[in-house]
Amino acid sequence: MTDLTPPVPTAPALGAGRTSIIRMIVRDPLALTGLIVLLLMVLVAVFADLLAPWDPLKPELALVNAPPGTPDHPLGGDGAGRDILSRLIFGSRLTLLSAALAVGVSVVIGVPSGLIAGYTGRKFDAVASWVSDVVLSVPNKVVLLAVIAAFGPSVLITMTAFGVLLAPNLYRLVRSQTIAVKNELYIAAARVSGLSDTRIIARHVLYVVRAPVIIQSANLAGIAIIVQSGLEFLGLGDPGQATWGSMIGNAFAVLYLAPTAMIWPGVAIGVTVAALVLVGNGLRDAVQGTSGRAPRRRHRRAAAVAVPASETASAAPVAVSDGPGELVLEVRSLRVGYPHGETTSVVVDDVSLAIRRGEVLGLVGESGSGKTQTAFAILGLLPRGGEVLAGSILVNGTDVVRLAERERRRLLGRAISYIPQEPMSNLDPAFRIGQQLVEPMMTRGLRRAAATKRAFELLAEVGIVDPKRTFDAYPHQISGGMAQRVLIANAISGDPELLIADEPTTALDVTVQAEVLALLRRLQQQRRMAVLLVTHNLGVVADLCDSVAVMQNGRIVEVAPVTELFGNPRHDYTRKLLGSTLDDTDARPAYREPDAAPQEARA
Amino acid sequence: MIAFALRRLLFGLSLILFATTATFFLVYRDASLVTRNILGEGATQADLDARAAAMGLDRPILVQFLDWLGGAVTGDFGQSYFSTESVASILVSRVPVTLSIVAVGVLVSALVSAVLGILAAVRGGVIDRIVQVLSVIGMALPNFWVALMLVVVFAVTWRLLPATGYVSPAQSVSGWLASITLPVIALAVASIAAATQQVRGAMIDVLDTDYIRTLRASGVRERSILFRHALKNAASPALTVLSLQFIGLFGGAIVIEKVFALPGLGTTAVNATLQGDVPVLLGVVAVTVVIVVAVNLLIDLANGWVNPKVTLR
Amino acid sequence: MTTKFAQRGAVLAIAAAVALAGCSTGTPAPEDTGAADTEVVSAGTLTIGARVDNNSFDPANLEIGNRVQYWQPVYDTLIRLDAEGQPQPNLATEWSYNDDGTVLTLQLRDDVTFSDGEAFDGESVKANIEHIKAGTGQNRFMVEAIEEVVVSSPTEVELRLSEPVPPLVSYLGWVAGVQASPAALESGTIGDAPVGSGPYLYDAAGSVRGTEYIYTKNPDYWNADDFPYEEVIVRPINDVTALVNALKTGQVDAALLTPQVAGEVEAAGITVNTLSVAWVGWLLADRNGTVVPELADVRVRQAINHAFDREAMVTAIMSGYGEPTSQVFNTASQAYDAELDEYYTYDPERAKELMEEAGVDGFTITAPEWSGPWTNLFPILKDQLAEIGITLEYVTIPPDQAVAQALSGDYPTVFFPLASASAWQDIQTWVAPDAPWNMLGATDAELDQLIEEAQYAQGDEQEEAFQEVGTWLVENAWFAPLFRQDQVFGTNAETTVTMQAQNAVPSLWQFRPAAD
Repeated sequence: MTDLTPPVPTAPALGAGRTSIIRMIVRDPLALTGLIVLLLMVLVAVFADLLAPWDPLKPELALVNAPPGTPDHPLGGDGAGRDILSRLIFGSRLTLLSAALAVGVSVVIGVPSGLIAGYTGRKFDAVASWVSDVVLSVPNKVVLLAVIAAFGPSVLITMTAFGVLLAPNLYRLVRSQTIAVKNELYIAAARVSGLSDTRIIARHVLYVVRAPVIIQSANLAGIAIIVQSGLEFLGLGDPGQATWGSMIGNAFAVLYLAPTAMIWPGVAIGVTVAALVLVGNGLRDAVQGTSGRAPRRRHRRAAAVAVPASETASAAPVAVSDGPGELVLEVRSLRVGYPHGETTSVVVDDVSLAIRRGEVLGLVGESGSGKTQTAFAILGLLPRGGEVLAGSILVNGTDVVRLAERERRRLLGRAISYIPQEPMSNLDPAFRIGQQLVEPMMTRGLRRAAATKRAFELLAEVGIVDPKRTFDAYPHQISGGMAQRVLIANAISGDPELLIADEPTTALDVTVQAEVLALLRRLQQQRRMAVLLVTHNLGVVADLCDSVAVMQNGRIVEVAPVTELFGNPRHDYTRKLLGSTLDDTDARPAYREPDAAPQEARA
Repeated sequence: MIAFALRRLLFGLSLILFATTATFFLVYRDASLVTRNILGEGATQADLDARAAAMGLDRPILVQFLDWLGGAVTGDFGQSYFSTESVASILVSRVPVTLSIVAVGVLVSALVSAVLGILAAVRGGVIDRIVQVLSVIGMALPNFWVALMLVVVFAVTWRLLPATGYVSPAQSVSGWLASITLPVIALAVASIAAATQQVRGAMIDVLDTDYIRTLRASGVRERSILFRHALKNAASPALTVLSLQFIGLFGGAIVIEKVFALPGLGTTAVNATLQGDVPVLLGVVAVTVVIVVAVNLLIDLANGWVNPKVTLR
Repeated sequence: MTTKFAQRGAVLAIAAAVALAGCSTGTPAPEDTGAADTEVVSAGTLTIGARVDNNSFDPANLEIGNRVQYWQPVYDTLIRLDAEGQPQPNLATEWSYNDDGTVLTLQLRDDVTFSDGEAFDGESVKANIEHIKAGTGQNRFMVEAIEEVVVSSPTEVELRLSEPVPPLVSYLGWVAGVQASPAALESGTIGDAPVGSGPYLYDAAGSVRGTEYIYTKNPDYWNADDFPYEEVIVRPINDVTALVNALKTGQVDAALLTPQVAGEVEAAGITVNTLSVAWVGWLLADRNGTVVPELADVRVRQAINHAFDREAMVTAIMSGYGEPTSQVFNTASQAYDAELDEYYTYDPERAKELMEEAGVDGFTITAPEWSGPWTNLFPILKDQLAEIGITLEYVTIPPDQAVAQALSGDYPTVFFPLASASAWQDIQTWVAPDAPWNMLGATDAELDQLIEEAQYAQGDEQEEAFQEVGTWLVENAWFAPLFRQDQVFGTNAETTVTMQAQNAVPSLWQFRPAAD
């Protein structure tokens, strides 16, 4: 039972990869810069007494509005004749402290309340969410004005209040994350195994929300610094304190006498906020992998063998049957990888296969063996960062790898079509089913009326009883089996010569699986399509395929006609696969098993 | 749908009640502080008391609050402590100013951030880097600094646009546009920067979904994938951001209105707070909350349109 | 000698302090100017940028200082004060006191009508004074001593006083002399819809409150020659930077600025007009030593006076827009003595000697500190006092509470900018035993005697008496004044103005289009 590919719950995986996150930030030059700047700022704040050449509070009339470059006072003097450089250095202390105070308060309020609301729900959730909505609905500067009016202009009071006002941001974040995590199976498992709620929250949930909270806190700290300077600008600051904000307020008062005085605290604020944002962004990118630079975690499920991109291909079995009929698809020595920096994770290596008209080739292998990557490579729809590194893919004799992007796209939905694995996630949730069937047909030149008529026919053809209702439905309104039929209807709407079906039945109930398989078989035979059937299920293979290619670690290890492979498996791995299937004929249950726990994903 | 509207109405009302009550008791001060600010440093305690009595400030605080509440229910928000103007008339003249810059600001921010965010998400690479860097800069610049720079360059040096003031669109549409252009830019910069990041993130998430791959595999044109499918799906999180932006811009307007001397809600709020002009501040809070609730309602409706899974409850 | 009246009178102080403290009193203007296009206002229009918004047009609530800019166009006054602050005929053509100074008789013009058609006469004078007296406004004190207004004929009235009020005639040039239509006074709407006999008519329909107040020429005004503009517009803009920008781009023709922006606007071709109205410095309120015993010793108070480098402060903080001084009275005041300006020099050594003589070895005083125009001066003051061994501890207060806190009596010393008006008023406001700014009620028999002499003296004798009061105050160091602050009033190339003595901003009749 090794072939389980549970959806990776982002956060635990990320928690596990903590060091790799730090490594990613370090690798991200912008985030690294931000981190270094922040560290420097903190150091300056800590060692202000040593660094500052003068007392930041000591005024000297001769130094009032002194320009930069004044002897001994490189940045000049402020409106009260205090050394600007020294104030800047000391200002970092109170500025960073007050930002930390605001963030600290909002974390202390927002995180526990978000955890409780998300985890226990019920009354606390209702009340806390209402309060959060209330606080978020009132512009926070207006509230701060009132707080200043009531309690005076002390920086610490103002920033504490601001922390309270920021708390809903964290509350909302933590609450939604907690709700999402709560429904994860491993939490359910933890609960079943008798862990107390507090321990679950402390051990698992907190673990998950940690990264998003840090990211959000970095942004909130930046906002706090900006807001503080804004209040100073409005003249609501604390005149006795040296913060960058009060320096801006002070400089604004003498804007025309010492225009440069505004620059220094402005730059300090800008640089610090930018550094916070950069670190926050870097963390976010590391967590979500949205940066395009960092490879997405999902790819790494494919057994990533880090090899130098230059490694040469070796001989491997070629999946070409010698039956009649012209070759619809021929893949030669395909290599697919995800380059990052110096190294490349190769997920498909030296794969060759071929399918003739009317033939069904099964591509089997366990999770991460590279079979889906192979299918995506043929479609030309590799996930972000993926590349065909070597080899060729011939569709009806044309090497599509060498085609221009646009030309290649034109093949999709026409010569080649695709049936995905998870029916529900493969329909656009924002559009009605009908629109999603009609649009591709209209792209192929049909008028709307004709496309609509055809869509009804197709829906009927794939066995949907009430095509009209399905046509008008949104994806979330239909069942998984129905959705898969819709996707099949969509796939055949362009009369493709080659159909790529990626685990077309795995996500379905057992009873529906059989129906969908029967439907596929019927359509394939009627239309004499060439089919590449990606699956781990040898039962499905036996049912549909003419021949089989077995993949392991990105390579094809054995190719044979179905009967031969089942009768006389040659490769060890094939035998192992067959063995596990015989032990348990229902090779892949339709539901996700509870023990598909994160440990699996972390492995 | 009706239940939804009712619930929203109830939430709005409870919000207004909560916000105004909190404001009242937070900002409420001793009558002599108010009257001192009205009558100045020469007034005696007897003068202050006489004025307080004339204004009804000598009554118990709770009575004053209930009195205000009773009036507010019937649309009478009372009168400013410091001028003869009724709060209602102050609000009527100030709301359009702030709404002009905030609404146009949100609109500009939505459009620009959509374009930049999509560009960064789709093109990636150098363009993505540039957009990212720009947005970081945009977030790091205090908006009053941006505003001051805009005035110096476009109003004082080049004389292209007015440095201060507001012109009602009823008076002159071109004048109105001219008067809000710089404030809107100053206001929108930070919000564009933040929203661009959001749009970019949402677009990247959407573009990585299975259904986008399937749409591509079905031969749907890239243009349609980006602007019909991806944008509509990314719109839902973006709209949530938009509603927060709207509230945030109300706060930003306070600073911007000062730089451009715009007679809006922000200026009114600052002055009222500083003077302890409780009736005006309550009016500002109430009207702000009403606007925010209304905008959130609109955004929820829009969300229901872009996201069929949302049922308005 | 203390009278009920003596408690009153910070009139002009308020006026200028608004401009100076920027935060102490008055409604900061909801900032706006209106005009979007940068068109330069035509020669026929005078546009004034005001630092505070209007509060009311009700004569009972009118203010002086910045807010005269709103009511002077619509309301005429009985007396007109010239640039030096001397009374000149206006609606009242002649005036005279009886022997003991308790009855003021006024002769009135007979050719004036209010804009609602009603005639101006003795009855309207009576109605207006009584209206102000019945109200609770800031300037009610101006008419408080008027016990009765007797209308002898349509063109003659007698104001009967409970006691002599030396500056009463001046008051009639300000709010006490404002004439609104009696019918309008009773209408209840005068706060929003002024009806006067002034040179201009308020265009309520065209004006937007808080944004733009428009006044059009009154075709029936009796003295049109003094008001050359076809139209006057007043725009409240309370942020100085915004005001500078409005002035530079021609959105306004004239505006009250601050010393800190004077250099900037001058470089942009704006004329800077100056006049000193206020003194800035310390009220050593605990001069009797009730809270801080050390302050009771005159040598300690003198030491404090010697601690401050006034010249350097004026140069550094005020950009030179001010004059160092040791006295609190303005230069036009009867109590002013030019020689007293330099009585206390910057001399920390002398200060330390004085402290030593007094047997004082360092002590602590507290004072309020707030965010505002003086933010930069506070740390310097603290530093200079520290030099002579006095620890100054600030209590940070919200800016809007500056006046209330300063007057609360909680502080032995208070730093404040205070506008100086007539000598009598100033004494009633700052010095008299129950003056509001004598927060801890300090008294001195010798001083009281000098004040009483001044109240009942007339002419040159009165001036001498007032100067004696001034000298006494300086020698006894009741205050530690630092400098007189210049009002900085900017006018563009199309406009000229003459400053108005003892007020924060010039009166409307002081504006003229620049000769080409």
